[in-house]
Amino acid sequence: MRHNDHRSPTADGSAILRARGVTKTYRTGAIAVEALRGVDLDLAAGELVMIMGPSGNGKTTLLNCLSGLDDIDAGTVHVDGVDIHGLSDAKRTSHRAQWMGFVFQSFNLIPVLSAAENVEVPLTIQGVRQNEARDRAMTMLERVGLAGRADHRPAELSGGEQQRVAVARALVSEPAIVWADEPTGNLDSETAASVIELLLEINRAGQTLAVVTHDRGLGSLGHRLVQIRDGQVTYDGPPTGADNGTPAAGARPDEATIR
Amino acid sequence: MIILLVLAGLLSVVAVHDLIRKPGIRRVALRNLSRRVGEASLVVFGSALGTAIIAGALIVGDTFDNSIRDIARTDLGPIDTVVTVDDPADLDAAAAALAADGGIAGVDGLATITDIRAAIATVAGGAAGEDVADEGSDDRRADPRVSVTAGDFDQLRALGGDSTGLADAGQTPQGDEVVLTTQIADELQVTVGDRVEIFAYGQASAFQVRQVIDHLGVAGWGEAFIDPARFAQLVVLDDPLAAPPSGRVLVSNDGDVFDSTGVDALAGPTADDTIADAIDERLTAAGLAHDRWDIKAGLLEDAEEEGAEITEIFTAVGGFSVLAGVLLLVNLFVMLAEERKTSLGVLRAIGWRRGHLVRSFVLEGAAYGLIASLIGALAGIPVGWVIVKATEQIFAANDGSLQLRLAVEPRSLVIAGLVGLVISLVVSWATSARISRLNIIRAIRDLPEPGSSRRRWLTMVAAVIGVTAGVFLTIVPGIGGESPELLILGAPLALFSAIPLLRGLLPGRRAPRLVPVAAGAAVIAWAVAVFSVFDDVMQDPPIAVFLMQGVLMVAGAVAISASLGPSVARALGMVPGGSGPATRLGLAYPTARGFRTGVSLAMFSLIVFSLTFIAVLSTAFGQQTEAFTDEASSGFDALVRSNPANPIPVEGLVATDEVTDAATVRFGFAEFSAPFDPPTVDEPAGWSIAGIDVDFVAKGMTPELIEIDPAYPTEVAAFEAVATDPSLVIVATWFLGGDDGADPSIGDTVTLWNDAGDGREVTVVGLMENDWVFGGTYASAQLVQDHLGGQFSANRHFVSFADEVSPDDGAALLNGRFVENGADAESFARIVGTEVAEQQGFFNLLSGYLSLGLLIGVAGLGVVMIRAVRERRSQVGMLRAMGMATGGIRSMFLTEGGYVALQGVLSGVLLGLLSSYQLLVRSNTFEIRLDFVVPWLALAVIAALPLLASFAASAIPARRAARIPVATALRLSD
Repeated sequence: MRHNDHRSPTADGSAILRARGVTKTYRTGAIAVEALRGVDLDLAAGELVMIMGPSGNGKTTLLNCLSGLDDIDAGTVHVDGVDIHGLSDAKRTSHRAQWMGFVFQSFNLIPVLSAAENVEVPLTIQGVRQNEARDRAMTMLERVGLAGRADHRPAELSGGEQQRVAVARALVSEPAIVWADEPTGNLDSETAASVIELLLEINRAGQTLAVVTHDRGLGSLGHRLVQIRDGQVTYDGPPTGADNGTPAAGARPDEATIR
Repeated sequence: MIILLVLAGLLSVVAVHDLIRKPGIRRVALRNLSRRVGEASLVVFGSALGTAIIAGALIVGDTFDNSIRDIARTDLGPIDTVVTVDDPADLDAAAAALAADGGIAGVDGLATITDIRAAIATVAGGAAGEDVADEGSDDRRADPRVSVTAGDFDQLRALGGDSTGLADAGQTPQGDEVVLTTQIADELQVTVGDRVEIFAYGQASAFQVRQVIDHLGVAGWGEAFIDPARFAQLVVLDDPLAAPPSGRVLVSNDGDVFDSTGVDALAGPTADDTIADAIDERLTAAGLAHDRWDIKAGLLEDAEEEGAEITEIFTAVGGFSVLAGVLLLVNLFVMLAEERKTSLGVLRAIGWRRGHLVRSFVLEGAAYGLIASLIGALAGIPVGWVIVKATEQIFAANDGSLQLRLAVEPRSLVIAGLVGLVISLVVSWATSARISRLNIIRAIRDLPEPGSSRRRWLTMVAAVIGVTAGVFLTIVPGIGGESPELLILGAPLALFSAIPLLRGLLPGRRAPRLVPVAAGAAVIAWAVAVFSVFDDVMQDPPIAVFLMQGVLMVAGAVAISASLGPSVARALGMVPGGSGPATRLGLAYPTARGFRTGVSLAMFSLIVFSLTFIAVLSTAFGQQTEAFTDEASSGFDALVRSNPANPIPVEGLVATDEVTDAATVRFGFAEFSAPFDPPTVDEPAGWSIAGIDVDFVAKGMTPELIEIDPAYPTEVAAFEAVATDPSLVIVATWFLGGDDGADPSIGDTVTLWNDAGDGREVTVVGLMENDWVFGGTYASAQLVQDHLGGQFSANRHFVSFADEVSPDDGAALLNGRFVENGADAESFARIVGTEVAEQQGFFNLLSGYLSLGLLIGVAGLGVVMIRAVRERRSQVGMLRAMGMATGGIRSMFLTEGGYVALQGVLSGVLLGLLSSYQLLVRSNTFEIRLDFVVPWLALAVIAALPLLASFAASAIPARRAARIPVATALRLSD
């Protein structure tokens, strides 16, 4: 099943993800840290949402909880009307495979697979036949500019190339939402700029993107900026309205990402 | 041991220094050690098993050594030398000659005895007080060959007091009194007051048990003591086929009888040639023909040799397991280095030199090694105990004459511990030196190390040296010097060394992959074929050569597997179900990590190889019991041995209804020297000899020959020639032991010595492959009679039974009927079956011992899998994020573990079959020709057990990997 089908019902801007009262507490022995405290958040189809905030204030936790990677203590997260935290682990995993893609700071590529094979992985998990998976992986690698590096293993690629492979992998199954956690965190500014350009490009093509970042420049490039402090959403609106000295929307990525 | 101590000291001195004086290194090393308790435990377990296996082998050797030595206490006591005079009437003269002029220096006692080997039987209803005339019922118990001895107790006690076993035996037996040792009394189930009969020289004499004494010292030698006057009445020498009594002077040297566990026993004074020479000189000067037997020295030498031999067997077989332990350590250190690469880079960045990294790893390795060595050395005690108990069971089925008593020499434990420690330290130093060569920036950024041009250059130089050395070793000391070890090692050294050279020289993209495959295949082919191509050099090689063969074949298989792994994985990916992500990833990891996978599969392959080899041998033996029986019997049904002093007359046998035919040999032991047996040229070696006549040959009782002098057209013709010509003999291929010298050949001249020291040269005209009834040397009865004299009794008969009588029933019948002759009849099927069962039992024991190595392999795989899970947690997290179910994660790790184990098991089985086929069918390495048989059932067990165990070892880490929460896994890099 192509996930364009999933996006279509919400193409009018209605939420494909709706989170209400999401609470998450980490417990280490007697110490309890409230990482999320009743977060409400909606994601609309085709949106580029930037999630920002100081370190340790719950950005990554929010991503993990909204995507179903982590459990929540209270609240609900509905994706396409399905309460993903009400599903069993197996069903939630299956749901996630169909609806979501991920890009992480440390790329998380499988080192023993080639670029093309890495991109194929989500498809093979979903049972796509090998030949079709390879065709779609090659198409995606072409889209991220790495068709010529398809047979190279991660160790033979630069950091930027690895992250492009990770982006290709996140997109290959055409998920409704792509979550990116500090996608430029491990990259130098020039490489980061190219990755940001890639993300903007795929969003322009209609892909819903939620990006967790420290990078104010990157944060300013979204349609929406969500600021998290102490586990709560302190701002949710256009990047220009945030009290963070973010450059105006539309600034060039290479200027915006200078940290 | 001193060498081991020095080595251990040298290898650990830096670690000890750092432990005391370098807190930084100490902190890093010891905290890393204690960080992963589970993995550390598995590594210690595997290494400790390696040490335990060595300790077990040494303890088994100690046990054999000490148990055989103990015979010196139980059967000799103070007796060091036994001098047998040719004519018992000369006995007093001989004793007088030895005692003259204050005696021989170094000798502290002499005593004389006369003895015969006779049958003793209980008297039915012969318990104390009952009349011996009640005999005749069937519930009698008998021992066919008991030493019946006459000697003065006071004189015998003077040899060594308590150690003679006669201290509480009272006066010399009088009249019809007999004093028995506990061993004989227990066997006959008699006690004081019971009556027994002694059968000798065709008459039965009744005696009453006066006392039962410990089987110890002189008492152990004598077994059944009777009145010397009654003894003289027993001896009625009217049967020319019966052996006469022996008159002996027992000589005791200075010094005490050693304790059973004493290691520095009386070998010194007993082996002293001056005493031996003085005995010979005095008796020769007195004109007394005699045979001097330095029995205690011989026994102690035998003990040492037997102990060393059994240790060698178990050490060599255990060598496969020890190597598996070494590989486990190597794998661990390489994995540790990979895991800690970033932190090692940081340590280098902040000022640690390469040496610091090496020392940190060595200190960690030394700690592993020390703990494992201590545990392993102690764990060797139960390992040794189990082997000793199993060996006892195996040999109990045969004669059970050797009582094994577990002996644990502290020295053996120390040696085993030191070997384990030295191995750990060597592995630590070698792998640490490799680890330390990291590039700081690449290590910190976790990037792969590129090859440097300097390293490539060094590799090429090493390759050229390796090829040259390999070719040299093969040709010069190998073929030229006939060294089986260097011959089998030389060519593989050259072939493996040639890999980097050929990789660079051969064109084509596939050369890097194909060259190791070709080299690996060539090494396997060499290790297999060398035994038949150079069978002169490889004939009867040391057992270590088989260990080398296994290691080389497995190394070849690993080279092939590492190179073809990706292709195999691709091929597996094409089979239904093979293209799933779990299978694909499960295969991708081991094929990409060639070194780690190679080492792990080598652990399995080494052990499975040797288990397969032993299983084939065991099955081949078992399946040929019938053929062996046919060879041994030549159509006869049973072998009947009887008491030499009262042999069964052949006429008596033939007169028995159930017996249809019988043939007789004069059988005994003689001394030989042979030109093909250099160690015994100066000192003749004992071997059995069977005197045959034409009647024997005419009855067809001739063992199969594998080689005949061309002068004789058939086997029968060769035997007829031997039966009629006293200058000819037929011998087995392992005549005079085989191991120490070369094998006999047709036309060799052998010298046969008699007690008077006269040598008679005889020529070998035939060679037997099997000699199941241990006829030994077949010579003419005339030669035996004329040259060796009356000590050779005609007490061996080969009989055929009527068709309706089974061989076992017939043998039992004869045993009952000729009890007074000490009949010991056994069917050939039973004789061969017992031998084969004993051999198979020993094979099974070795298999059990080897299977300890499988535990090392499983532990090694467990460590690899635990590490794999730890290394890949973030990747597991990503896979889970992408939608892989927990079952998929589990399958991925199980596939990985199973793939490695499966490769190891398959390669081990195939190599084991290949090697055993070649050795059994196409080479002359084994003296016994066996048919190659594939032991399907045994192979199924050999394959299934390690596979199941490895699945179990992979299952726990796999489950752990599947259970890691996704978000947590994604955060974790270590």
